[in-house]
Amino acid sequence: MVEPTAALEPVHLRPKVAERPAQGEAAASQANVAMSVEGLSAFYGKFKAIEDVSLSFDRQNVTAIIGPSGCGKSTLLRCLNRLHEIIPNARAVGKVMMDGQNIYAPGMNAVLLRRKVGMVFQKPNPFPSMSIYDNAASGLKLAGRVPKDHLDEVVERSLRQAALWNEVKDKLKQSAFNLSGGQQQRLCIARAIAVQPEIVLMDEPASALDPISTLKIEDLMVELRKDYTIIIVTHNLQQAARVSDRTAFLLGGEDRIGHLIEYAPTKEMFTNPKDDRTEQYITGRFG
Amino acid sequence: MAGQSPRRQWWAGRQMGIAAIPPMPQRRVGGMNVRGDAIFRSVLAVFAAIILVIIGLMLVMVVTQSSEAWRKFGLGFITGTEWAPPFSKFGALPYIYGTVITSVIALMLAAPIGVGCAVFIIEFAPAWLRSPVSFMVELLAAVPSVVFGLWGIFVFAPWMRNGPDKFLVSHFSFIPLFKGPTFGLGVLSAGIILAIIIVPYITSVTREVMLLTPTNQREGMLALGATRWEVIRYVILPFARSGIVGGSILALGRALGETMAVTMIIGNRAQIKPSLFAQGATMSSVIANEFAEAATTLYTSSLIAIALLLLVVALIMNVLGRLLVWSVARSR
Amino acid sequence: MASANRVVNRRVVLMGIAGAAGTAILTACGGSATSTPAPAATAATTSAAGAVATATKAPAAATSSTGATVSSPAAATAATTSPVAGTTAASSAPSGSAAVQPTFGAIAGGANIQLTGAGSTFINPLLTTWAQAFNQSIAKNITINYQSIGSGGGIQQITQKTVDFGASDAPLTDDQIKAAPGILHIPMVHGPVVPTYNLKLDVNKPLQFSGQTLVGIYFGTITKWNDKAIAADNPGITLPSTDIAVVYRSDGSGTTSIWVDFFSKISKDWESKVGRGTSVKFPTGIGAKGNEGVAGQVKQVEGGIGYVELAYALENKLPLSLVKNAAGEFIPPTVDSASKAAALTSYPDDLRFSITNPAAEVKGAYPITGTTWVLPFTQQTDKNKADALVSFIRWAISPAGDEIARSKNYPPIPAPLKAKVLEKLKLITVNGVPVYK
Repeated sequence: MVEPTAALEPVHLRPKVAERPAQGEAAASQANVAMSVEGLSAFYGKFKAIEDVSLSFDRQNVTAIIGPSGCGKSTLLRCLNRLHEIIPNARAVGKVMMDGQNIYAPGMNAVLLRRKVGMVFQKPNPFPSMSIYDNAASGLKLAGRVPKDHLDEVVERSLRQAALWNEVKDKLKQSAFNLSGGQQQRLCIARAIAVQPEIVLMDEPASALDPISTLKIEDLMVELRKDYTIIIVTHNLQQAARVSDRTAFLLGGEDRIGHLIEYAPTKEMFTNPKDDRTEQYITGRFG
Repeated sequence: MAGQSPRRQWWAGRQMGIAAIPPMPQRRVGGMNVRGDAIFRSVLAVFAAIILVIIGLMLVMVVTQSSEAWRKFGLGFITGTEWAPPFSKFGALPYIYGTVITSVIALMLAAPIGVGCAVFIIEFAPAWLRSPVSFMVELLAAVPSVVFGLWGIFVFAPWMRNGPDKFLVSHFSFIPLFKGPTFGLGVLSAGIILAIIIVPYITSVTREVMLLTPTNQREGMLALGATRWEVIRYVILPFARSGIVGGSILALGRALGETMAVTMIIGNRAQIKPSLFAQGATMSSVIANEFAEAATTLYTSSLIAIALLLLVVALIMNVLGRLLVWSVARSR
Repeated sequence: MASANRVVNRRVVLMGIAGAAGTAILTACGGSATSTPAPAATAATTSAAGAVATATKAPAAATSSTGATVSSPAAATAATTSPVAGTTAASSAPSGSAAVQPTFGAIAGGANIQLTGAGSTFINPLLTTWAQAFNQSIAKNITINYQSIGSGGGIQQITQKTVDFGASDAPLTDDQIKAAPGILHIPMVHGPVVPTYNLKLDVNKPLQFSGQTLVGIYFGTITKWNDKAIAADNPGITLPSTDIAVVYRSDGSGTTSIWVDFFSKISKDWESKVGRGTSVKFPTGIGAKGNEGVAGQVKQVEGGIGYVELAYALENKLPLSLVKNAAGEFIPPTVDSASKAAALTSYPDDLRFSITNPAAEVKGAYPITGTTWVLPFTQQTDKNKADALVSFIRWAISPAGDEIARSKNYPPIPAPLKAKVLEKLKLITVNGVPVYK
């Protein structure tokens, strides 16, 4: 489903063979990394939201980004599919490598990037003018003309993957607004994975939902990590602990500029944090 | 605390963060506040009534004053194509046709331009250009229509005559719509001038509604890998649909009633011809043209009957538009 | 957000209705709200006896501003009138000359008198100038407030007696007279209507038309400038084969009325198929609003022809053509040739006449000319107002008034008609007593 990366980028931007990582262990570890961030800073006008963040996300893993409100975790997430830059005067500096290419390199196409990096938002946002079916199929339709039977197949598969199929299969033509909040959010997840992205970004996907719907979403994340790389922003520490493989902790200093304080496997971070500030945060002393 | 007034108690309770505090007791029930409200309410009711009375009186006046024409011609007044005051022959169809055709031309041109302009302002214009462009568009709405009329006569009509009209006549005159001769003054020119006049209405209403497009819808579509055009096509336009229809109705109302500019451009011939270059006349233009010198009571009555028809046509168009908005809003 | 949309829509719909209906109605009634300010509080008595041009100002009388009619005995008794008929229309004597200057004695000095009139837009520029000159040189206490609302409106207003006089470019119909018994037709001035055209010619000479040719052009039977009929009217001029673009007045107007009245007189076909009136269904052409609209459209289209008032044409230096009269002469439209058209051998008793296409005996007459009448009632109630009105009319048709008319390119009424007018003025009475003897 996902086209080879090379086909998406202009020929002159493809890395030359010589520059590709060498064979061997380095290459193997490289192959396991879906995306890596190197020295990333993001701005809103003159205000710097995050500074010099570097970390990498492993394939078929759930990575949680935690931190107190305003520490820049959502900003970091939105830099990963270049959605940050659609805000007037917002910009990002640094490198975000994906498939051996910097997505911020000149000439890189944000539209094509976003087809490989899907996103689920805090508030469910199905398209109100479309039916449930059309919502699930919307990403595919954007990508180009798709035969009807193939479309049916993809819609069913993604709705099943999002654990929604049984609830909506009889009312696919109805407006998505008739669904409950939790169902709407699962529809949004189905919409994001229908185009089979490499990475799915989730920005506090369960924060607007009731506990039962939240549990369903969490179960879904564990299920989805078999096929996708998932990066989730959450302020719910238990949730991070429950679903993620690795956790990154961001904290804004006195100047309100967010820094990456600690990045470690989740179990390690919650049991044996290296940084005092991490410990204070996860033990609930602030934030 | 026992000796304190209920108001004090309430406030103290709030300060201490006590839960389940009852709502603040009403002060002096039946006192000044309530009476003030009653006065205020009745003043407002009078204002509202004045508007209704004015509309009512206007309707009564138009109906009674036009009764002579209706008695004389009946429904033949609407279907009659002959308007010859010297022989007391009055038929309104050419004027109804002229009003409808110019308004339709205007709307067909103005709707895409107006919506396009709104999309440009919202989606494409750099921030520094946004307010100047919106301001210019609003300014266009403030230009008196007689100015458009003069510009139409001295600049636009000659340009049409020697440019687009000439081209269309020489290449497409086999289509009845583009049959010559052309003088620059006619139904098409009037429709285009009207379109210029009504574009700002469509643009402002559409723009205002588009501004309300939820960010999460926009971002949701972008995150799926949509281009700017696709965001407009799948998110902004569907969201603004009711605004576009509403703005168009407002514009249509303006187009139906517009008098001065149309009178100056349309050529003022009461006729129904298929060609867009043919001269025409509208309901409002005939009233403006002939009312002052209408000598007989039947003549005056017929002109007032046209005013009544204009009111009815405007009402029908608005009801149709209203239904359209309603069905659009429902289909969401 | 949905409710926000709904609110916007509802507002929009209501505004739509109001917009459509309101504009037309407002436009129909528009422009009539002109009013001159009230007369100055200081009233100056004007000595009316003797040479009028040198009016002597008396100190302002404080009592006269109280509103009561205080008639100055000096002015009332000094009414030595000299017949206006004695002065000829052709007289070009300076207005200051006491020998030919009639007196206008029957003016109640001291009291402020305001006359209101309404009607013809054609006479408006002249009437306002007349009123100003009359106020400055003859009677400081008389102001005339004229509303230029169109002849139809003027007839309506005088019929309802909401004004002191009406003014119309067309005489009242029999039905209208029935509605306004005792109304007088006082011809004040003439209005020639002239053909103007836009055609490149080799010779620097105006075109000339016979009436029948003009009718043919406006019927749409003559469509090219090199038509035989036009060529026959213009021997020695090579005409191009350009298409004729006919332009007419779209707004109801006395100008159109005069134009088609001429056509109806010379063509039975025109009379029966198109007819007379301020608005008619022209068989061909484009309708343009006002003199300026017609002139503008003719100027723009090569081969255009239209008709405008003489005064407008002269002011704007439009190319004019000559028109053939019943005597067979091609007459250039001028103030004098138009006045001549009104020098009929006899007038109908009520002075409701048409002077288009005058009989062959009337030599040198321009044949497309109309008349503007002032319309007062014979039975007046207010002595002061009746005096003021009669004095004003007598002054306006005096040499002083004529001179002002000529300076503004309005043809004054000829001498024989002036005599008739003075006779008519004698019919104006207050409580059965004639105001002017």
